[in-house]
Amino acid sequence: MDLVNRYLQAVEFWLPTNLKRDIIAELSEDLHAQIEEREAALGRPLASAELEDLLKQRGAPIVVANSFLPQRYLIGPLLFPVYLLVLKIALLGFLVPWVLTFIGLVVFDSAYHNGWVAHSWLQNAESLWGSLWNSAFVAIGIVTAIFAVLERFQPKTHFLETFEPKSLPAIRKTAVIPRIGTSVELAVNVVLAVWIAFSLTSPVVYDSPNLRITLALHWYLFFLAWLAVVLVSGAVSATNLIYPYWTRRKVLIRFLSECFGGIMFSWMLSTHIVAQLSITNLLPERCAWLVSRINYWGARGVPVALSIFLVIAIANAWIHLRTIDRAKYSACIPSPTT
Amino acid sequence: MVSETQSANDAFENLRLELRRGSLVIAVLAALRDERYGYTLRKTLAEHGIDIDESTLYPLLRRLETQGLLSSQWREEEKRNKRFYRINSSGEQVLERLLAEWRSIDASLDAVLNNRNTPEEVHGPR
Repeated sequence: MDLVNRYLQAVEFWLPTNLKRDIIAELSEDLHAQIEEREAALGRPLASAELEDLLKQRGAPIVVANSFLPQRYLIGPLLFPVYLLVLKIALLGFLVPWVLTFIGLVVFDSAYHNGWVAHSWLQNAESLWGSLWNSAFVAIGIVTAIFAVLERFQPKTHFLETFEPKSLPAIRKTAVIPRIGTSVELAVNVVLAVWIAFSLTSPVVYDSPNLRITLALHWYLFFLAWLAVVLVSGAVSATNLIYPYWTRRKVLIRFLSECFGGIMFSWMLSTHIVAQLSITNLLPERCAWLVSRINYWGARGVPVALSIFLVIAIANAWIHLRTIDRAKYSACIPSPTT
Repeated sequence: MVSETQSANDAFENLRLELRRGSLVIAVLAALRDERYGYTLRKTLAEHGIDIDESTLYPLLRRLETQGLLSSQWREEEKRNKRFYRINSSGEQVLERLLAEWRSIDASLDAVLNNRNTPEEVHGPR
């Protein structure tokens, strides 16, 4: 019977204080009744293994104790999808700026920069991961705590269950790309393409009585690359005008061209692209100093520029892919073939 | 193929348990028209083909008592303290209404099934 008492004690541990005595007394009585009946049928006391089997059939102590308690949630099934959505938004809105700030500090703050350079790649990755994890942990903790509190209020206020049909949002026609936006996009691409094409004839990209900007001789390489990007983007806009739906192929083309454009721009920043600057009423020495500072900060800003371009390209691709998925499952919006 | 069968079996088991859950309340309330303690109640139900394990029965008895449909008292019998349960007047009323609901669902289901099946399937070959 020692085993039975140990079992009862283990169940008791998981029960609330006010219910312990009552539940354990009833459970004990039921167990003893079952054992007595089994022993009467066998005509002998139960062996230890038989007793173990009987207790196993009853279930693990925590499961048995839990069956007596009402179902409890930290975050219940009704709030859980909202919790997940907010968690995603919080992580995106918190971690992305955090990473960008971190990169900015390493690039622009000399103390951070020196510390970063002084350590090995592995040490830096470890330190970055440590701080990132701490920040993520705090963000997840705060969101979870808020939702745990809301969970306590939901059954009393039913704030999630009340709604007005008329205040529901209008049906989103996200599958159709608005032609006005596409037209503006196309016009911008055409203007940009013309400007780049003209700029390819001379390294002087700006020439006015007060200001003259001359680029280094390798400028045409980058401008050619951008011309290609702008033409591809213009082609996508033109097809969007004729066939105003996103397809996976279009999303891929736009993503690749945006990444390529971003890489070329970042690369250009690192190549001391500004060759000469002439500003009215500014001494040539001062202009030369300005050119060197622009090129220096341009080179230091490469990781930031690259990160921003990548984030924009990924965000755009994600938005367009979601649009395609929504269109696929929407009954009332015509879906394009991808 | 095996996994499909397994998944169908799992689904059936879940649905069976779901279907039984509501009917267990009726069975327990009906069986407690005579006073019983937990162990004998379980045995009585089992004798009538309704198997119910302890981890389902005792929480159910507790819930029905909290809802005011059962009364219970601790009493010594055969040198052991036992908790005896019995349906009370509120429980009787609720049981009657549940039985009426049960019969109504049964009749509706019959109607749905008869409507879908051919006369031979419903009544057997004539």
